[in-house]
Amino acid sequence: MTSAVYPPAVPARARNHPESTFGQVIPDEAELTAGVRIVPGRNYGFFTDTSLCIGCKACEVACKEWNALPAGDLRLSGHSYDNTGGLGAATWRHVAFIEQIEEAPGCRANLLKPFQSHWLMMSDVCKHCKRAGCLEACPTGALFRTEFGSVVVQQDICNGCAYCVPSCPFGVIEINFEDGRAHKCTLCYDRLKGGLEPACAKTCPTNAIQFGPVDELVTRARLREEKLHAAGVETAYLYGVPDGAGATGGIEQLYCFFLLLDRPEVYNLPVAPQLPSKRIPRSLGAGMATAAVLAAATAVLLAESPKKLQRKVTHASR
Amino acid sequence: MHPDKSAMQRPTVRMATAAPPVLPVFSAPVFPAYSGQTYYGIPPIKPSHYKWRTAVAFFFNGLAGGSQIIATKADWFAGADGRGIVRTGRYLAAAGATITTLTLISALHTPRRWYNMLRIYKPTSPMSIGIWAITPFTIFSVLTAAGQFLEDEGYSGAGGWMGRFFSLPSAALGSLVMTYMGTELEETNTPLWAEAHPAMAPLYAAAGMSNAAAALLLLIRSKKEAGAATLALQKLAFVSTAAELGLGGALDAARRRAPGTGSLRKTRYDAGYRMVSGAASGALILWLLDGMDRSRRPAAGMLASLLKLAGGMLWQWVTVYAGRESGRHPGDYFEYTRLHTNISATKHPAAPPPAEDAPPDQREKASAAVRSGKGYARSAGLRWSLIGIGSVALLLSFAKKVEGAYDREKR
Repeated sequence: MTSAVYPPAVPARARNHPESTFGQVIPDEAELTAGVRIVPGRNYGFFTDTSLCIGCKACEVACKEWNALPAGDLRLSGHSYDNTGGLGAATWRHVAFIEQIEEAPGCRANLLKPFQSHWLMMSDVCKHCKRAGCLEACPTGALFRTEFGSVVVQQDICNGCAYCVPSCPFGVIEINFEDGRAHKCTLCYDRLKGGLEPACAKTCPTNAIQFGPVDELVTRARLREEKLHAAGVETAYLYGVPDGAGATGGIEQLYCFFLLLDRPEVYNLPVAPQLPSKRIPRSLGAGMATAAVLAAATAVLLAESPKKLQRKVTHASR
Repeated sequence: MHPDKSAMQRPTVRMATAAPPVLPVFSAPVFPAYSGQTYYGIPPIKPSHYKWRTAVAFFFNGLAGGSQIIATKADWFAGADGRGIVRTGRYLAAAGATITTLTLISALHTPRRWYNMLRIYKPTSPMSIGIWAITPFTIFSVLTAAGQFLEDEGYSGAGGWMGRFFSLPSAALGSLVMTYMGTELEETNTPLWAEAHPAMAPLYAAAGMSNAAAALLLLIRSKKEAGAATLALQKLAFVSTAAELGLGGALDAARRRAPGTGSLRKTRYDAGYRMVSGAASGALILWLLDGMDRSRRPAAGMLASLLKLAGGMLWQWVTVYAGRESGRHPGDYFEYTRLHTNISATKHPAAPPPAEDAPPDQREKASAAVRSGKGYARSAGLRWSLIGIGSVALLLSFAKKVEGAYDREKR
């Protein structure tokens, strides 16, 4: 019901909280800020609409502030306005900047288009996949699926085996070498438990990052896609919806999905990511078959008649 | 850089005919062909953190698993001459398993929590499968070696019983211990490893067996225990090394055929990889010559063993480090996700179906991508299994023929 009208009307009880600084948490604050009542047992995620992103990086800052993440490399990278580089152990929201200044190859545009003005900006985040490569690879059970559908690393269990790191098809999770454990976006699990929406979604000034139940977000996203197509933006598509790019290879769906305006590789995303654990049966089966054949060969070779071999040894010693 | 809008089709909108669902259903847009663009050369995935500790652990893992299998088979099938193999094999398996366990624990970034691996068993994680193979394997191998030690110290009844009892589960787990490492590397998104599916696990099995046979041969011949079973062990080393070379060659050939990949050649470790093949081939030749040598001098056979073991260690090193480097090449990963996947299963094909007016090279690339994506994993697995089994059978018969010819000549 909320998907039909967005943003939804703010409930009347918002008038009960006129102050600027709060002494305590507003109960079910997400209902006031995102129109979502957060209940355990439903799958929640993000719809990141890159056609609304203005590249302010408020989401990066809010995420770092709320989760008390270290600053990282403070130098300029030379990669447009992206001085963060990518997601990592200390960066759980990363804004990518792609300048597409050429009107034709080798020819700079003199007139900027009214829509996007030759800029692509995307706020990248952990996709909280429906079938997550990191979760399926974790041997300690530190990575688990929460009651809100998100994927979280339990910091008191992770022993830093780093097997989740190459298993993620999107390069999200990483080891923090100072504390020896893996870190990634938690979908603000602590905020969700308190009835608040995640920090990045709350702070986004353009509502490019929308938080809500995944099924409602997908409905809303499809309406937005249709609206953009009708307005002449034919390149808009959804990345991470079921049966779409980004939800391939057994991943099924990304609970944090995107509306993109160019090929996924332009945003540093794979077009057809794979869930690695699907390949285990064939691989292990082939390996065990080889081991069985070689073990059988061992038995055959070792089980030779002692008499024949004794004769050979006697010949050799002469 | 500007998206070529003429290459993208306007998606068609089909309105639902029944009352629910309310929204129109969209068919997928078709992307323009991938022209090699990356995001400032920043890798889209994170390379693995496996380094020398993992390479060393994998080497000793295969060695231990193979040793236990060979020792157990010798215990059951070989005659009195095989007791040396049984003894050496059991000690080598226990030592290898212990080295592996300690090295893997030290490779963790929080080693004091190593036991958390044993909280759960997760069948979707090759590392979990591996941990639950290594842990009981180490325990059983140590108990088998303890039984062997008792037997050597004179308690032949109790020691023999203990050794034989624990060697059975140990050998059974040994085959899994030898093999799972290939699956663990392959079942990631590192391009070099993932594109080798499903050949990595068979390669690791063959490598484990050949390294174990080479190591046992080295230890036994250095003690001048040239029994009748030693000849059989040498034949096993020959056969398993040849199987490893064959599987590796098949994987190389498949990599060369696949369009757009060849990630190993782009790394710094290509020369090292060739040295591995050279070392294994050299070992094969030396063993063949040694088998035909009637004087039974141990030098050639021992040199072959050393060569094979050095090559085996080098292969583990190259595989781990080249994989890390391939994870840092964005183009490799994008090519892997486009080509080595069942792209036809998605509604967003990575390459559009070849258009009639597309330039010839673009058309070919598109159809090759769809073709190789669709059937690659399926047919390759069957092919490699047949190659593997066929080569082992062929080499077994060849080994027997050489022995038969030698026999006839002597008579």
